[in-house]
Amino acid sequence: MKRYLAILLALVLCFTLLAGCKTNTDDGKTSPTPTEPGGIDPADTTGFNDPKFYTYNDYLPSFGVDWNPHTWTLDVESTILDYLSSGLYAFKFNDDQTAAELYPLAAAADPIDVTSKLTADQKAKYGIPASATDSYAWQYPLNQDAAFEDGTAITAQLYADSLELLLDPARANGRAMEQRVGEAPIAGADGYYNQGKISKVAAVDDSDTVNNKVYLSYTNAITWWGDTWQSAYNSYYSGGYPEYFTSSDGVDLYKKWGDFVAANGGWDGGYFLLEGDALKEFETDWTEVCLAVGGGYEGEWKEFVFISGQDFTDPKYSDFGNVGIIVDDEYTVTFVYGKKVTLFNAKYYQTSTWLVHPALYEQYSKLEGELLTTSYMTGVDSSISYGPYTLKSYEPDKEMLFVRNETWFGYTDAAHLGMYQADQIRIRQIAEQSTALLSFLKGELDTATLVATDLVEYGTSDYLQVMPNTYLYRVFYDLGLADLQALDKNGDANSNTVALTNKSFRLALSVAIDRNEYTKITNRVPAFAMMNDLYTYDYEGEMADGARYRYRDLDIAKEAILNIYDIKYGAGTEYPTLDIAVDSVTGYDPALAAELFKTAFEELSAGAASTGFDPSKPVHILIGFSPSSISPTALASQNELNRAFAAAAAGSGFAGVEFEFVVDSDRYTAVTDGRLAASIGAVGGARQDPWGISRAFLDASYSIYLGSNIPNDQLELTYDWDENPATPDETIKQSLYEWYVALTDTYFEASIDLKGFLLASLESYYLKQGYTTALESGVDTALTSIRVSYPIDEYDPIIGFGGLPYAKFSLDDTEWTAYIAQNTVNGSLQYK
Amino acid sequence: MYLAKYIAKRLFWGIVTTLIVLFITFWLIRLLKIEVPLDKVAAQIQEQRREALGYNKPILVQFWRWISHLVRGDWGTSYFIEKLVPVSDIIKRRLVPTVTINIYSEVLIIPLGILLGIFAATKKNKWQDHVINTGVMMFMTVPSFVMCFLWMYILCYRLGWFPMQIYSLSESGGWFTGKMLYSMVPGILALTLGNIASLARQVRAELTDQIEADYMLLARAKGLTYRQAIYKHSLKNAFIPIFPGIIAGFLGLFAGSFFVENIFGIPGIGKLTLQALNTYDYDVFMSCEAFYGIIGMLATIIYDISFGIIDPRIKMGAR
Repeated sequence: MKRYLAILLALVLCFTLLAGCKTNTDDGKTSPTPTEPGGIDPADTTGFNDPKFYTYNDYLPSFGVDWNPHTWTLDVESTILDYLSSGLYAFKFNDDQTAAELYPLAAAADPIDVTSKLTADQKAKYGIPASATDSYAWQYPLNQDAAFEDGTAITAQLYADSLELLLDPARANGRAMEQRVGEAPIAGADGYYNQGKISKVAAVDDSDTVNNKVYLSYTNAITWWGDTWQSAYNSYYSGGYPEYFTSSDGVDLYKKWGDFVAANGGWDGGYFLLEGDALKEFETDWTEVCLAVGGGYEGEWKEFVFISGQDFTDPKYSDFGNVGIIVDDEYTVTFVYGKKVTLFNAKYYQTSTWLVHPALYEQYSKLEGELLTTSYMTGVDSSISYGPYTLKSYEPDKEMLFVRNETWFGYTDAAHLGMYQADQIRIRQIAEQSTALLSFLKGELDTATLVATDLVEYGTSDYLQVMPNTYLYRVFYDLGLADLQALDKNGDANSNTVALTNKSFRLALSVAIDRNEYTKITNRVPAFAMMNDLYTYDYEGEMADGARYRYRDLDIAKEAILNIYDIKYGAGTEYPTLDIAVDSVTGYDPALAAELFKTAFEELSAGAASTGFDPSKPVHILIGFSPSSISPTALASQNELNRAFAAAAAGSGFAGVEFEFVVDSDRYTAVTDGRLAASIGAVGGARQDPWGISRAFLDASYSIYLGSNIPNDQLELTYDWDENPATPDETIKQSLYEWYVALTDTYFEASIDLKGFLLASLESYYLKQGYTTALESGVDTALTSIRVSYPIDEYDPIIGFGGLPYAKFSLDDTEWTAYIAQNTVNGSLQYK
Repeated sequence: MYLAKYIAKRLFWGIVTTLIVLFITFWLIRLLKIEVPLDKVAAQIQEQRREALGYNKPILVQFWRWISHLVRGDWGTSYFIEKLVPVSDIIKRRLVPTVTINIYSEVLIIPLGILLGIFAATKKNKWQDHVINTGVMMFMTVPSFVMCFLWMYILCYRLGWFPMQIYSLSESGGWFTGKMLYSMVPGILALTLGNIASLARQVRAELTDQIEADYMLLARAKGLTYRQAIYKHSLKNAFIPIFPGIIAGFLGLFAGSFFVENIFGIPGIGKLTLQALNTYDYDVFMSCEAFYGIIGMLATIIYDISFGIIDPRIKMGAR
């Protein structure tokens, strides 16, 4: 009896489950009839005067914490801010919707270059060259219809007040960074922000310390090791190289100077000012060490210290009047930039906003600890809009509801006809991507992002949107021998990480990876170089004529890729032309990888006595990995790398070559201070500035991790540097860092040919040394609703598909509900 | 007198234990490394903010500051979830959905769990008992997050009977509306079935013991029917160990559920705790932990003393 009952119960349970899995076949429902993407005429019944009601249902994995233009940090927060604000300029499609264009939004017209009108006193005050006649000062006429929803007019003074709040040092506003440094910094902004401080930078060479104060720090990276004193001491001293820290009479200098600091007031913010006799004694101690184990040149000891950089203690830095903003009249404001800015950039860098409603901002300000902070733009009451939508309700962790801001000036001008059809935006918070996708398939959402496994089903969908970006995902390494030796000795899973000091080994890692296979797992696109083909050197040109002006399309940039992978082209080779040769690049060469691994093994074995390489053990390297990227995909991608390495290293002599991903939220610093031998991270730059991305790899003042002393590598280049065909080419040898400065400063206004040559040379050198292993470029994929379409089918790197302003709805909310009811099959609308 | 002394003693040790747990948690969360941006200026600003907020001070100094504020009723301030909002306000707000869905669940759990348990006990080893036992085992062994996804997939997606996520207040009109209750059904089921099974199993086990006890023979010999004997004698005795659990379970209403809240989009206390951990919002996380600590401590004490309330012969604290 019991048995029959058990069988009966099992059948009942199975039936219940099957009820949920039932497959509808022909049940009389109509087939979905998708709208034609981009097929809606702007002059049709769409737009904000449409009597029907449209809700755009979106989701975000998190709402972040604030959408204050001074403090937002996450993309999602920026997205929210976009609904509530209007930049001075914005992007829109041109009339025939073939390219993007910049148009004045909160501005009334293009800015005017007024540099020549600045007086000598003003130039001195703002710190711009006395001889400057153009491109520093831009006058912006403001749109007089622009106002906050409470009626507060957006005047020139409001911009000045907002900038003062943004730069207020007591607030440590994160977004102040964009006005302080970068491509279009406001003159004096950095000084005002840093008022009363003295910046400290690692000394690079002898001349650095002239007229500067000298500081000792154990916790900031110095030039000598490209590492901190602390980590270098831990690695070297315990790694068998005590002479790097020991005087001729046997004194442990690290300990001696640590004790000295402790006895003389201790560290102040991680630094100690060396002066007088202490400085002389320090010089004596470290000159002795440098002569014994260093390069042996005079003044070399200075590479162990920090020097005072810019001194912001002068009272002038506390005066906001010295910051480059001039209120010309109620609706005209001039920005004086700290460097030359083109007309295009004068508009482009004002597309994002830093304007705030000062009264509300102050009302929500509060002193927490020593930090003056504000909860402005964190909820309905603290938010105020001067953008197309306003926040109607906000349930933290649940939902944001935006409705049309009826007071927005954009609804009554001619510039936005046919745009902003959505009357309401409902953004739900859905943490799980899989849940969001199911919601989307049910019609509850109008968009859903996809992961790699989803592409099996939706990879050919008519509703798929593919959005590439500039991010390069790469493995970066600690190349310091002592650090790696310490890691090999410390007993964790690392073994033979010293192999990373071998160039052949690093290059073998790179060409062993079949990036096409790898990216099938990660849903990104293969990367063979530092920069993908999105970087453009003429953003404005691309918008004007729709042509491509991409760095990657330059012949010299193509040749750089061939050079990296040792591919020849031309007569007598496999590839008759440059383009054919470049198209053939996959970054994958198993034969070359096997050969390089073999060479590496022989070289490492030969040098085993000095490096500690153990031929009997596998190379096993722990790779730092972002906690936010933990997923089954991460494990699969790790396995794919290890499969590739194992295949290529077979027979090379290595007992194995393996990466093991370990989660480390501080993976950049971990590589810098020797806790990890390598990490995976993404680096991306502004796509309109291919030259600037090099700072992420070569500028120690910008990037936390640069590898051990890589910027000091010497590179010799021959070119017509003065771009005068009458003069012979010149050969210059200098450090990579100096070449980076040349690219972004000295030759900033040089021809594209020269800058392209220089950037391609740096890119080629960097990857030929195997300093980083480029893996893949970022790409996002999403499905968009059957009822929503956009003007273009192919992603435009400048304006995307047009975004919410251009979203066209073929069905209003009521019609959509009916459509879902009629066309849902097995719980889902049809998107495959 | 015994009881008062007993409660005081339990409270004292409960507070000590809670403090120790809180300190360890406080220390552990600060050991978690914050992701540092690659950009040095951004990293510098991040560090500047942490310094200004006192996060670089010695751990004991920070803990003392936090606990002394807590005792005075100041639960701290949120920085990364709801900026500058007092944590107590956030917790109060997040308790509403948590308690709401838990009350709905308890309303189902208690009667259904007891009835099924009684029914199974009275039908011991009959087919009804086997059916109930099989269901009990199934719902008790399947992890709650699996149940969540199962209900979501079947009820919300394939059958389309319910929305994937609970409605927002703007859609439902409030926490206690019929529309909100309707959207909560899959979450309630996910919370309920495992607990019904657990309660039914406990009731069945206790009642079975009582039914087989010698005094039942006497009761029957006195002329009581089987049903009368069960309801007048066995059930009362069986509930002595069960009832305290039910009372303490009511305090558990406040505790929330990480899985159910995250999967069904319920902005409750469980989701808040997880979010606080993910965003390193120290004050929020610690306050949630303190809240859980206090709830746990009170639940244990109530559980213990309720034995004495149900059966006056049991004197808590007496030797």
